[in-house]
Amino acid sequence: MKKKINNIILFLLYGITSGFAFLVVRYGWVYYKTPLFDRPHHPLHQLLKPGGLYGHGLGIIGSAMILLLFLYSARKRHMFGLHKGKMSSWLNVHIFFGLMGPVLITLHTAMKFHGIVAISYFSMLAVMFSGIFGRYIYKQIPRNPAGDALSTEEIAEQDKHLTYLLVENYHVPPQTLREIQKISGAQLAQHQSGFAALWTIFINDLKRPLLFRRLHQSLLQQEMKIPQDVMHRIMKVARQKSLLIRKRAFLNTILRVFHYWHVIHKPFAYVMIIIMFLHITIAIALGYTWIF
Amino acid sequence: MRTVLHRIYEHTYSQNDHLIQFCIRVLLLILLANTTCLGQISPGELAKPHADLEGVSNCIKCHELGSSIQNDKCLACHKEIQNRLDVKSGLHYQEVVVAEKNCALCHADHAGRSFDMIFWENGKDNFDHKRTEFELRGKHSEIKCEKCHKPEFVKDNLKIVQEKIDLNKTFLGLHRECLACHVDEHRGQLSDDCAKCHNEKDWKPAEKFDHDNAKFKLTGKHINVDCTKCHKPVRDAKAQSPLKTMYAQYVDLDFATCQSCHEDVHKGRLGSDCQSCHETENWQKTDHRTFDHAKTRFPLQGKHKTVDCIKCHTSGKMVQPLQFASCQSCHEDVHKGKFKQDCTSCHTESDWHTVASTSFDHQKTGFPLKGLHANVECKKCHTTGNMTVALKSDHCSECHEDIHKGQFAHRKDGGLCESCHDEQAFIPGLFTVDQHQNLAFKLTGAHLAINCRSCHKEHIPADSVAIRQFIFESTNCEECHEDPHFGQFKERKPAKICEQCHQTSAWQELKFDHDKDSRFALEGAHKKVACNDCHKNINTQGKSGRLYRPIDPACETCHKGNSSILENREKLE
Repeated sequence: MKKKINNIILFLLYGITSGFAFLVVRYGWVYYKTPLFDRPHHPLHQLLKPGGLYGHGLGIIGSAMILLLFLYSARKRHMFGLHKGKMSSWLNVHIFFGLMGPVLITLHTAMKFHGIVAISYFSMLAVMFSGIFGRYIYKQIPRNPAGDALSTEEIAEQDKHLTYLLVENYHVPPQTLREIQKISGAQLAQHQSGFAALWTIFINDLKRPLLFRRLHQSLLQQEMKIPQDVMHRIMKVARQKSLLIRKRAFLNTILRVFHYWHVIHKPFAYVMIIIMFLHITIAIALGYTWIF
Repeated sequence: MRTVLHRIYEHTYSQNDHLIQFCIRVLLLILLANTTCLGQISPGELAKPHADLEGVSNCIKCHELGSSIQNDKCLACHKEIQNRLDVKSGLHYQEVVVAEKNCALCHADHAGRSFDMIFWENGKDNFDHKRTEFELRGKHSEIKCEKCHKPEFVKDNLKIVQEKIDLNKTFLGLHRECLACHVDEHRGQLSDDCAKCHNEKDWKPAEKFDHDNAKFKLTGKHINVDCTKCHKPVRDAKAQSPLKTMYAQYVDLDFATCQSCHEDVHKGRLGSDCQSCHETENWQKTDHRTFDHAKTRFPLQGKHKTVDCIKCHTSGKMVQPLQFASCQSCHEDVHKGKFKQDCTSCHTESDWHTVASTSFDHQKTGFPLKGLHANVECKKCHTTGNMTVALKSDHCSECHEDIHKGQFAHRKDGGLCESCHDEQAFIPGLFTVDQHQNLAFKLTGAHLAINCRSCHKEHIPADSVAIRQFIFESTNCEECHEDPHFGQFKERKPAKICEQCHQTSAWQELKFDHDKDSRFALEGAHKKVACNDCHKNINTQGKSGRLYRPIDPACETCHKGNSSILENREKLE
């Protein structure tokens, strides 16, 4: 329930922010389409330019979001008294800020990337995309509902549980189990590492729905009498198992990639934040204080 | 969870990872440093005019710390704009001071080197020039900006104010006076305020020019004369353009008299005040009432004054010379050259028909005027008025009525007046006493002493005028004298006439001899008796007279008691 509420809140936040961004884009579309050369003469320039009434506000909100991103790091390290709340929830918030912040910052820049602050911007993009990538990698690490990573034993325990459900509860034939194993693509983990493994995982994610549909049809053909809701539950468990198998198979690789991902994600974040502060300091020093 | 995170953390900060992180950080630092040097904190390249302001240390040259971009910073460099604000004139004054706009609002920067900092909102050609406090009207609104905004028209010394200013690109420095851009076509002759006469729609014609404001007011035909007719072109020795070497002269023109422009067809004979006769409406139309013909070689006198000009100047061109040496130049010689003399010798201009006697020599005619004739008005004889018609002048009766009514017609000369009269004076006549002696009645005695009219009296016949009698039926005394004797002696046998007793020397001188001429000789005392004693007065026919006869010679006639005398007296009475 709480998760549901959290999801709703998140959904609303995404919706509001996206909607807001959409409105800004729609309002200033003509301005944004205008070449940089001609923008100073555009009627919306004073509003949408980086230092304009709207532009500056977008930058401030976006910067605030960027700053709030670091709360997740603080939460991870229990800094500033932050130790409550599920990491997954914190991550979701971190991701929200990480996605929407750059959007607003992008609108703040009005697609004008000049000077040292452009480094901050592109660093921010690197952080954002690496964050998206990191999120993907993150999801490859088996976790409990709280968002904590599972240990190897816990992974095995969970796999065992899922197998039990399939065999004992739903009487899934061994062939199906083998099929599920095959669909997971775990057999490829041994031969791949690094980005190849990521690519395999990605392809597997793309192919898996199709493969599971075939499995579903195969099961139907084999077991005509399985009620639909039961079939639905079987397929759900089958998916969980397949995913778990794959995650377990590629865990080492993922952990390694995840390690190097931090090397990218963090430094760029530092660069971004340093230059951002520099940019903000100079802007304030030169009198660009928005409505304040 | 903590285990996993720890594992991640450990992985992150492994020795190898430290090296990787260090490398990345150095790389970033290098990038940062380079970017700091190259990219700086500028949000974009400055436009070309501000290119020399690039660099971190120059930011505050435009940006006020804590106050964004303030106009003071801009105006500190752009002194030419500050000048405009100081004089409170021009576009920037309106925008910056009045509208309180920020310079950066119109003149953005950080948009690249080739960014044009001057923004024409609706395009340069559609710029509302009224904002510069100099509205473009008429032709000004049709020309390109560069036609006016060019270095040669920049009057302000902008280079002193702003050394870097490009006079080929600036829109400053122009003055609003017409002559700031336009060549003074009038070369300083007229006011500098061209708008007094000209408008911006068309330089020509000068629609607002009112010639009435000039010293010479245009009237009549002058109004329609082309300007260049009077205002001739003058060469400008100082002309700088080969296309503008001539200009019209508008001042210092001589216009005091008409001759300043017009040829005096009268060659100065009529003076210089042309307007006394002519008007500008129509040169040909002259007011003869005002024209002083006396100024011509033919002053109008008499009737000539009232003649319409066209009568003499038949061509209508008053200036066309006419022959006027002689009257025949205009007038027909009704005398057909008979007199061969100057008409004015007889005639005057006041009245042709009135010929002064002193002027016309009638002596040259067939009838020289003598005596009173010389003073007679011509019309008296020339009753028709036509003096040229020869009148019969053989006899006085040609003109004069015979007042004697033909009494002398019986004479041999037919009763010519000249035999008794002359032209000196009709009265008295020239008939002398001597001539009278040639008549039947010779003048003797007292007849010689009396006035002619005493005998030749006037009488007025019925329905006639008075006639003086010159012809008598007889020469008897009774023709003139009244018989005082009441015809006493006519009845005598033979009748006795006056001359028998009386004589012309004196009536009282009788040549009567009582003894011989009467029947009663005076004897004795009778000789001493006055005649009146015997011959008593009687009154008869209303008159008083004396009785002479018949008187009875008896004594009783005179002496009382004589009845016969008394009876005779009664008879006579």
